Amino acid sequence: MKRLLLLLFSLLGCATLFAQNIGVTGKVSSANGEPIGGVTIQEKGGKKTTTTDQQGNYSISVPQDATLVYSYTGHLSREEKVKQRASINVSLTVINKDMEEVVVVGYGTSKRKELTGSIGSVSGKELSKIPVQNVAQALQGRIAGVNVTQGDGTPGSQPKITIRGGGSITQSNDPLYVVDGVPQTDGLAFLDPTDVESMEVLKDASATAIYGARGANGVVMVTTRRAKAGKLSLNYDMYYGIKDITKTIPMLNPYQYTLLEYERSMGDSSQLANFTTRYGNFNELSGLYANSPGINWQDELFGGTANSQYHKISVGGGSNDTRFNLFYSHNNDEGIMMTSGAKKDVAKLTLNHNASNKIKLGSIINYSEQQVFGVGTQEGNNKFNQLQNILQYRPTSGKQGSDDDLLSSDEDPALAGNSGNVLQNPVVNAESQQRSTYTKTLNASLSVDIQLARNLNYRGVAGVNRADIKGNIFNDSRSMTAKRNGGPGGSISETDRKGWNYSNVLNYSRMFAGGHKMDLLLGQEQVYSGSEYFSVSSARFPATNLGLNDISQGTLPGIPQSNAQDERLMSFFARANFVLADRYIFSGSFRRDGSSKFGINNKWGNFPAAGFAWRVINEKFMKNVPAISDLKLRYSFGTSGNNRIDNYASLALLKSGNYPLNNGNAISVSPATLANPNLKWEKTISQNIGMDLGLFQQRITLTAEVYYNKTKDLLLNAAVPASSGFSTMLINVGSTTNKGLELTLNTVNVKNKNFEWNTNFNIAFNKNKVTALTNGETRRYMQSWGAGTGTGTLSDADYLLQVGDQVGLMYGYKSAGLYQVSDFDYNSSTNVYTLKPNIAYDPNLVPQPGYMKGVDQTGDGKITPDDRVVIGRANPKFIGGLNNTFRSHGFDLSIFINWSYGNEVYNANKLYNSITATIYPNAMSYIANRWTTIDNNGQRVTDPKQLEAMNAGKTVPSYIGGGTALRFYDLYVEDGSFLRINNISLGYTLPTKWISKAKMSNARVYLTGYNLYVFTNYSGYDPEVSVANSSRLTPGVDFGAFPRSRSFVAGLNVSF
Amino acid sequence: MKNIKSKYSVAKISALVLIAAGTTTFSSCKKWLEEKPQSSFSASTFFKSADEATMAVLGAYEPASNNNTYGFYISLLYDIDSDIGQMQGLGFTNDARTVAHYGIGPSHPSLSAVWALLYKGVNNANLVIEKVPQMDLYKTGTDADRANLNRILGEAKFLRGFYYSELVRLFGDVPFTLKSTEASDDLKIKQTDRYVIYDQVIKDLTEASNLLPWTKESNERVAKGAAKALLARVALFAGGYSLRQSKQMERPTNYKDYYAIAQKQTKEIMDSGYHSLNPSYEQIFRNQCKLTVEPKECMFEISMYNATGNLTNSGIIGTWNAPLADQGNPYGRANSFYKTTALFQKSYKTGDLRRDVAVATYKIDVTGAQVQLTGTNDATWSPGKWRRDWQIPPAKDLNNTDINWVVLRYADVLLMRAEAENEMNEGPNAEAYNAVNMVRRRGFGKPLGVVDATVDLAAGMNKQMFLAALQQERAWELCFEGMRKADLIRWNMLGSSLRATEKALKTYRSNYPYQAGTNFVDNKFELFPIPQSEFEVNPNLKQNPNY
Repeated sequence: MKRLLLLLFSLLGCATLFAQNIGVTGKVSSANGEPIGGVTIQEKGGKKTTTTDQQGNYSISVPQDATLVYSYTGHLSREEKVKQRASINVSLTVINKDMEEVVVVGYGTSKRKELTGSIGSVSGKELSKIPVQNVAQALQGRIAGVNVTQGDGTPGSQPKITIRGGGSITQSNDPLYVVDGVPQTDGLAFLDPTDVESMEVLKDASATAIYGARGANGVVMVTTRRAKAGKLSLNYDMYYGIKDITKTIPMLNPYQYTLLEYERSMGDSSQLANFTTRYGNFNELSGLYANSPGINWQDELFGGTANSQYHKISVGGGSNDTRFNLFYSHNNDEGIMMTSGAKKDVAKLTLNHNASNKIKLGSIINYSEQQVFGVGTQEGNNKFNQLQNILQYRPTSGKQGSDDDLLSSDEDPALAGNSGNVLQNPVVNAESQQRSTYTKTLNASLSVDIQLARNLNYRGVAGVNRADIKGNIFNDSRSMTAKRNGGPGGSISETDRKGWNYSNVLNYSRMFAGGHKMDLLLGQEQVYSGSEYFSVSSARFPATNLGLNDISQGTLPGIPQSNAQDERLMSFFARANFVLADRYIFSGSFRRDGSSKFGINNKWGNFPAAGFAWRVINEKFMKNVPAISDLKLRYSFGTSGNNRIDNYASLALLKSGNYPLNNGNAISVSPATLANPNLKWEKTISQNIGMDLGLFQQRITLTAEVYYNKTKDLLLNAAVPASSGFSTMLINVGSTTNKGLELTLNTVNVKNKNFEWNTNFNIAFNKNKVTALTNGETRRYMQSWGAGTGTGTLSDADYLLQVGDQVGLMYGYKSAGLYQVSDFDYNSSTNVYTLKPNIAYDPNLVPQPGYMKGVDQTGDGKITPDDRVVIGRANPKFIGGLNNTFRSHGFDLSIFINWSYGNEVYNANKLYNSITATIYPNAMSYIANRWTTIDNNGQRVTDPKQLEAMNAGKTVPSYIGGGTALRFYDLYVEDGSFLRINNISLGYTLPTKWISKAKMSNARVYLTGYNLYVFTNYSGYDPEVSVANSSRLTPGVDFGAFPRSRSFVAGLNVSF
Repeated sequence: MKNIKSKYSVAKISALVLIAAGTTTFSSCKKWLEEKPQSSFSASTFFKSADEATMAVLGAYEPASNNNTYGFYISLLYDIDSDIGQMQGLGFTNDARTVAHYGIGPSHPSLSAVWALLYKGVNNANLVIEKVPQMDLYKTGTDADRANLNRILGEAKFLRGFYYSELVRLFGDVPFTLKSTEASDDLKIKQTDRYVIYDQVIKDLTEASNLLPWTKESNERVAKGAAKALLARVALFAGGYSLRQSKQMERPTNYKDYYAIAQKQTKEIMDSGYHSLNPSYEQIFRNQCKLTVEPKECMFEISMYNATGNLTNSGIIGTWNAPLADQGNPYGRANSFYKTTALFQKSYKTGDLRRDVAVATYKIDVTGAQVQLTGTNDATWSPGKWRRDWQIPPAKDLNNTDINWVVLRYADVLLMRAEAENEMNEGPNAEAYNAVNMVRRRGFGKPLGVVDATVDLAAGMNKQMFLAALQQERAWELCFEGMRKADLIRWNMLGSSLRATEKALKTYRSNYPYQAGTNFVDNKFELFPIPQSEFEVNPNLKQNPNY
């Protein structure tokens, strides 16, 4: 660090060598008065040349009659005759705005044209058009290579951002979030989505390495709206919206259901008798049920429309030296499932004060409260899953009562006495289980900017954050849980997070004549975050109770739990940028991070990066190619890390447990982890080649990038021989690569006074590959949703991690259609079908005609778990977005679509509901066309010819033909490619002459449709789904996912 | 220039400030970056006090108090199918049936769970055995301190012996280490011959029995009697048959050396007077159902309890292996899968009070009433020892109960004594007769010390006859208590017994659901396979025969 400072000082010294001369001085500024640095000022026809400094000042010594030419990229050149003037101030007009675009980079800002790395940005204006609670969701499809996915439609669920495929396997691939210079641990949920000025995504190491051990997954930089000077203004924004479900899963109708129940009951005389009492004789069924609408439980739960509303009121203003903005917003977003929803309140105060023209202070205080409630569809594993309860509850009550009775009764009489029953009236189920999460966050930051010297600035940012997350769970007396467990019960848990961080940065920036520029940055940062957790629970409340408002009413208290943990990060960093002759840009950065989480032998990590860019456009030979208005080539190389390891993972810990002596708690301790003193960050080495091309005065701009990210030292909870007393040990092994291509194309299609049409298009291809696991390990198996033992679980692993292939391989059986009558020998005297020899079968399930047949990959004549192969891949081949915006006569229209291609979805809902052997549960409607042994008169058919004829062309196995055990066949892997009409927004800005009478300065009304339509072949609710568990290892599972909704909102923004 | 100089100094000052800030943080940063776990203990600073040693030895007990060990898998599932018990439902339609009906393969999920927990127990015990003698308190403490720590050391040695004996019983030759694991150790260790392990188990249990006191608090921590009884049991296993890597069932040529150990240990327990039979057979299980610890009869039990009915430290003893009880009945549901056979129930002699304790021929309906299972439903008769209607209402959970798993009862010690005497003396002596007859008299509700020709075993039996009578007696007395299959294996009669049972049941009723005799493969299923997951990380292992 000292050495770096010395370097800085020597550069400072060297800067003083440029002495001044008498002659012309002046200032160059833009049309709005902002000074422009780096403007070339040339004596026309002469040799003298200079450039402006950062404050736009210049001085040049020229003959008195000379003419000066002011030129600057992206601006119209301007000539001024000196005419003996000693001071000439000029302003330059921009040809095109984006040449001068300033983007936020780590610990500062940079002009886009001077970047060597890969940074995508999107303006808050675009994002705020989308009526979502979390701004990250609005980022979907906006930036090439930034994959934003929402696991499902659960209110309040956090979108997942993966940049360039993500290198980690077992650890988080979440990017680092930095809001107004302050790193955030919990994503962006605390922000008001309309409060975003811009979002930048740092993608390659040249941009992210400055964040060292936290940068490998990319960095999302959010700049919130600033306080603007001016007279006091009052703004009111609101929208009101309605939502509905886009699609339901077709289930058997009452008649089809009774046919299935009949077939399931036939084998057992007492069951058949039950069936007849409940639904009638076979020949009555058609008459009784064919025209019965029955109950569609999905309609009951999701069928209504939900409302959402948003209100924001803000005041702001002040002088240039002291300005403020204060807003409060409220968002109430009902979920489409009954009792579900999310609310969010945000209050934010922004204050800026210039203590002098050298010292500037800024402060942001953001407080937010979020509430998410409702049991949702994902609660409960396997057979306890809520969505399965909704899908499987029977659609008709038969002869013994009206459907209304079934709809209103807590429990189905048909399920009485079933000791293994887990199903309950889904409406009651949703009403009787209270779930809510309250999150309160406070983020406060203070920044200080001091101009220490002409080219030297200091910036300090300090932030504190607090988060309080409270989870309430209560199951009242009507709930299934209460009925199974002897009474109502519930729990309260609370996580209290606190953190602080500060950074000190020195920035030296200097321009030189001839288009040279130097930026040096030196900084230091410290981050602390800690959390405390506790939970209490109690069960067996009396039927009438005060719930969690008086948990002492529970007569069976649980064991209270608590824990505390914290982590610390200390860092030093430096960055240098050199622009030579306005054409060659060199940048380098270096960070050294020390983290408490790393093992004792690896406390500190070094993260260097370098980049080079060539602004070809500024070469002389480009002057002859007028069509090209910008051309830059970039290359970068660097290293960054991913330090998202659990705290204390490197230590030998003794964890407390319990050996319950005398039916009470007796505290025990035992070794919990194998110490790994070498534990460290995951390391990503990334290379990026980019090209920025502008055509026709920037009417068309294209950015193309290819990258190659290699991630090493992957953290794997490596299996160790369990004979050691431990099953796993967290070690740094394994590696992955991500290669990709990203294209971003922006065009101004039409631009004139009355009409403007812009198009933004991006597309990204990524190829992910696991290149190594632990020593010698080539495969690792994972289970997603169905893990467990017993009924309703999937005992085989259904995901595979394999060296040489992508993360997210679906692993299961290939289906070979159905066993046909011709596969069997038929004994007509006993009516027994015996499988012919040499036909593969599952030894645990003696096949009959119409049973599901698997492909015998091993050729051993048996279908066993060894016959599983890769049957699906969850990662998309490419993703992207297309936005068209139109503006005319006060109207603005934007149409945004996004897509994903080549990803496959594991339709576990379908798998789960394709096992139809047991009595009662309803099944998906495709089951109606199953292979059957029942003829039209309800008689069992055994004759081979008749059976064959009845079932010609059938592809759905008989009701029992899938067996009773769940098995993952390729039939449940579906193409998840989609093209989503993400949103269409039409706005109208009222003419000033109309609104000025109402003392309004601005008024805009708009209509937005969100998630309007999805083009897809996927048969489930929505192909954009991943719910089985949050781990990266089993992506793309649809089991119990909350259906997405379509929404329409009407909104208004007014300013006074 | 002056101007520039002053700027220079501002920069210099601020840079110095930064450097100062940097160096102060730098000097303290090593400390700042040090991790201090807040909600767990650090291994390096533990074992300072007797309390800490106690917590650590309870940590060695804990792996046994788990659904994956003695709450379900080892205690219930791994003991069936046998001649007296089986799982309901034919076919391999779920994981449990795959185990019970002899369809298990190395990938079965229960295997890795059982294996990992038994070894966790070994490692936790190893840590205590290593650390306690290093404690200052152990070296310089008072006699009372030392006695307390010695008891802890004895418990740890007992537990290490117990876990290793169970590993050998279930898996044969297994990896073997007496050191607590560190990351730098070579974890890929080869299997050790079971007789090397048995030697150590015998040594551990002998040392444990020396260190442990005879009496104990009335809780589930072990005392001297447990160590001696377990030593006797282990000796009988070591002296019995097991499936060897030769792919044959073999017993060692010096097997009588082991029987001598069993003879000695059981005699010492009987002579000590610290243990005795509960006069009522029924009361033993009523006590277990009521969670009453009864150390005179029940010598070693695994403690199970969960305050809220959750699975941690709990098991499904008393639901899975109990008569079916409908959901909503006042005693709590029992989703029962463990069944006995009708013929076993019928094998009890008239007047044997153990029959109606051991076997429940009813189910409990929603009102709590007993409904007799008649006709072909006799195939669903189940163990009755831990029935729901004996348990403390209300049930906390549909499946999990707080019932301890009793590993060893005094009745077993008596029967082991009889068996050892018979073997050592090449026929039953008076001690052998006395031991087995005490068990029988209690079973028939007779005074223990009074010779009673109506219930006592017939005098004058030869060695084989007496052994056969003992084999039957062990079934009647100890049925469903976790050792039937293991006993049949050490006698080398599991396969033949299963086939005979199947034949008898099919004769009894042609469609009686029982398939173990058909499925059983000799010289394979006498051992469980080494879990596949273990092979994947330890290439030095060798799979058990025929898997």
